[in-house]
Amino acid sequence: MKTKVILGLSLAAAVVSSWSMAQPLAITGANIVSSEGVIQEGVTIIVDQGTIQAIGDNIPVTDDMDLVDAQGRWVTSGFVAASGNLGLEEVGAVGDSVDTRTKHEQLTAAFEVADAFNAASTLIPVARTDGITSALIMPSLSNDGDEGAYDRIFAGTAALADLSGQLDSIRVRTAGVVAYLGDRGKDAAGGSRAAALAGLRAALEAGKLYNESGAASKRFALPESLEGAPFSAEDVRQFALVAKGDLPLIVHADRVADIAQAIKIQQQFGIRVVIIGGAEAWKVAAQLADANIGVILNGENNLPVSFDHLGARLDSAAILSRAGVEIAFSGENATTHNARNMRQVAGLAVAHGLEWGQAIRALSRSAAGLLGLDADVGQLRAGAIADVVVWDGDPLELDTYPSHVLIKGEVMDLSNRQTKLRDRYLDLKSELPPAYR
Amino acid sequence: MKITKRWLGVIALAVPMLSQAEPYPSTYTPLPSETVLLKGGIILTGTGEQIENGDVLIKDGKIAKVGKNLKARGVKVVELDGAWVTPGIIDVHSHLGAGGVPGVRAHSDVNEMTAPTTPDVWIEHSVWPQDQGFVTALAGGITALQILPGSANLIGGRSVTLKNVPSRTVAGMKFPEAPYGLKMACGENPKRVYGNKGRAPSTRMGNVAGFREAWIDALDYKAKIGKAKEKGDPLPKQDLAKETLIGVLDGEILVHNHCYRADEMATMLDVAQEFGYKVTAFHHAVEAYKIADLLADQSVCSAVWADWWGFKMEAYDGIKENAALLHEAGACAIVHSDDAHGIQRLNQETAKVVGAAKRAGINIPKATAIQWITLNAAKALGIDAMTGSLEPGKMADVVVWDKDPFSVYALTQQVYIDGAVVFDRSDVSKQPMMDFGVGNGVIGGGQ
Repeated sequence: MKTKVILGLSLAAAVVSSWSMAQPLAITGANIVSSEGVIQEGVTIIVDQGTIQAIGDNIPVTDDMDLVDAQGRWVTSGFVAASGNLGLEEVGAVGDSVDTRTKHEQLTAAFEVADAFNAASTLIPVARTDGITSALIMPSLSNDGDEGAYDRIFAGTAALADLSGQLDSIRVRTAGVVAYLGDRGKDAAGGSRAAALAGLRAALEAGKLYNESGAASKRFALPESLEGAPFSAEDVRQFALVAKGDLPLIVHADRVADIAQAIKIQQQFGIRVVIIGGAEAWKVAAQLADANIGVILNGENNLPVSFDHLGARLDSAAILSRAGVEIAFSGENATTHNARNMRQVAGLAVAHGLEWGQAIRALSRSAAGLLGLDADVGQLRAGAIADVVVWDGDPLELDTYPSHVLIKGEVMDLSNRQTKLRDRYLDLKSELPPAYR
Repeated sequence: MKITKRWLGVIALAVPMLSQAEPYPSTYTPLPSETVLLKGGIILTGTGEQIENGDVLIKDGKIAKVGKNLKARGVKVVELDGAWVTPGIIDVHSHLGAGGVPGVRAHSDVNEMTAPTTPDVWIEHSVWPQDQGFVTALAGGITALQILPGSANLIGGRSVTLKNVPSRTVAGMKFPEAPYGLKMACGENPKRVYGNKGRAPSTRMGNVAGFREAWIDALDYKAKIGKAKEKGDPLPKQDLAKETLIGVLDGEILVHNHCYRADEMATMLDVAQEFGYKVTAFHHAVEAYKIADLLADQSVCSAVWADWWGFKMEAYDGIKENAALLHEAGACAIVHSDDAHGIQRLNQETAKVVGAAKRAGINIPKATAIQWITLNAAKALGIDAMTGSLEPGKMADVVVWDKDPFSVYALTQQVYIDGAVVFDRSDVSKQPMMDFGVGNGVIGGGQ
């Protein structure tokens, strides 16, 4: 009898992590939400070689498998952080520890944050402990403690990374080009959002020219008509990928007018667009659904924090979802260090009318699917990468934690720097200072 | 109840200033109310109790009775049907109105960033009562809140405690009889702000020297007044800054000290000891769990976030269990927001702490944890004799939740301040909207 039962504790997970790649693992008695949002009970999931081999209700479990009995608890695909800078910054206000943006003149769209990813960041186990197994990592224009002006509307190229903490964490190097419209794009473009839009169109024109010139194989020089444009030949190669539809354009926009402009640009250039922010996206929910444009929604904002956010509301997610818009969640307090709070933001959206199954979908499949990356990520499906989480309760509730987290089929350690600090200071009465613990 | 005993010292300090006719008095009057019986709910009293199938009788703006099977003739009855009732939620750390939305430069009135010690400024003179953040906070159950100056300065100025009622003037929101607070800040912010200006403080030692100089000056001024009074000489010219500091030394103004790191909190307790004042609460006390025993011994409250961490160096060691470990050590724990969104969900922030504590094997009853955002917060503001719990005679500041407020799905149904329904999710006539949101598409109404 080789079957071992894995206890739902981090210690057990730490002990078994070394062999878990070696033999198949079965999760039995799982309640799951299918990628269509349908609840299925008593499901068995077989994981081997880093992928989900089989999933269903009549899957045989053999003696050679390690066993996790979910006992009717929720099992989801690992959640996907849909925004932020995991692996790109350690301490927000400490510039030395931040790699999320650059002022390099030759690198706007061509700034690829994947190359800066630090798999050893302490933020990664913190997010993982809350059931996040992969993350879109995004370049940004500015950050806490760095209020300098960034005179560009393109922040760079986003990537998708897993949160295994291994050196090979980058799953998708170029996942989308990040552009800023709205109030930050306006500042970057010299003072008006019209200038930001003009810059966006010029970039896409340059990308089209690049594609039409067949320049992919030789060095591309900017045509005379684009001389003085605020981007380099390297950037244009990235715009070309966007113009071809190979890479989505991730557009920061909150005001409905800006979102409507983004829809127009999508139609004009035939590109793929994703909105991030989306405070007033609900006002054009039907148009977004028609255009197949998804929204990475700041799900916690309901205040007119700027003149772009006058229509912010907590039932945005419900309105968008009902209209058929694919959504994922972000938020000021639900990103990077606290990416873990995207579960809370999703729960808040449910309190304000979003269907629970859609909230789970938003946290898993949609976050990857918005960028077209859900073939292997974010789904409980045979053949998908085995990022799987067993929860000790409703995944959206505030006192729920994962009992097991698998990334690429490997059982993860569920301790992190914070649980270690906590344990160090649980007992303040010992004779020796905490430094000896 | 060892915690209660430790609290006595603080309560004794919490008497209003009565030295002379107070300038800038509160003009708050409760909104119209009627006698109401909240019937058949789960009541978290704020005193540490949970009553199943309980009732709350509100009369004349006060809590009249709390218990089971209460009878009252001819009064309005609200059938709770298993809904939950808590005291009004109190946030000890907010900048609403002083840094209002939209967050444009013209609304930036939180930090008087022109000198490292500005005890002469009063945040109430920055508060714009039309900040939409007040009404969204109200929909989140906030019935009272302290507005503080920012943390750019070592001594940032006077705070003010407000009733969260819409009013045309800040005076109309001022919590009657609430003591003032003094905002102090240690750590990174003051030394960064003034270091960048090429002046002191630029280090943590510079911070402490700055505090000490301010208190030495205050003591000197106090002695001069004493001497002049003794001799019958004319008093020195009124000094706004030193008046406030003397208010602290006399125990009339409560110190709210922004301080992240454990070692710096300990140093600030030494500064307080040197000059004979008390720290009422450390705010943003991210590392309080490291000195929970010391904070318990000295009866200092710690106001903390549930999970903010890592945004700056002094926040790197933040842990979710902070408030729970403080409570376990017998110290006064408070969950605060410092955020116009977070303030709308202090119940959820508290629930996150309880959940993390449970994971660590520490079980905190909801009836206890609710005190972190009600009674303990009221104590730190010196208003706990008036509000913060559902006890007969206290102000009827009450929240009705549609379900367990420790659930992410819970929403407020009704919010009462002094017995008046100030927010009702199912009655648009009880959903206030600030002037800024009129005619420009701001949503409001609990959304």
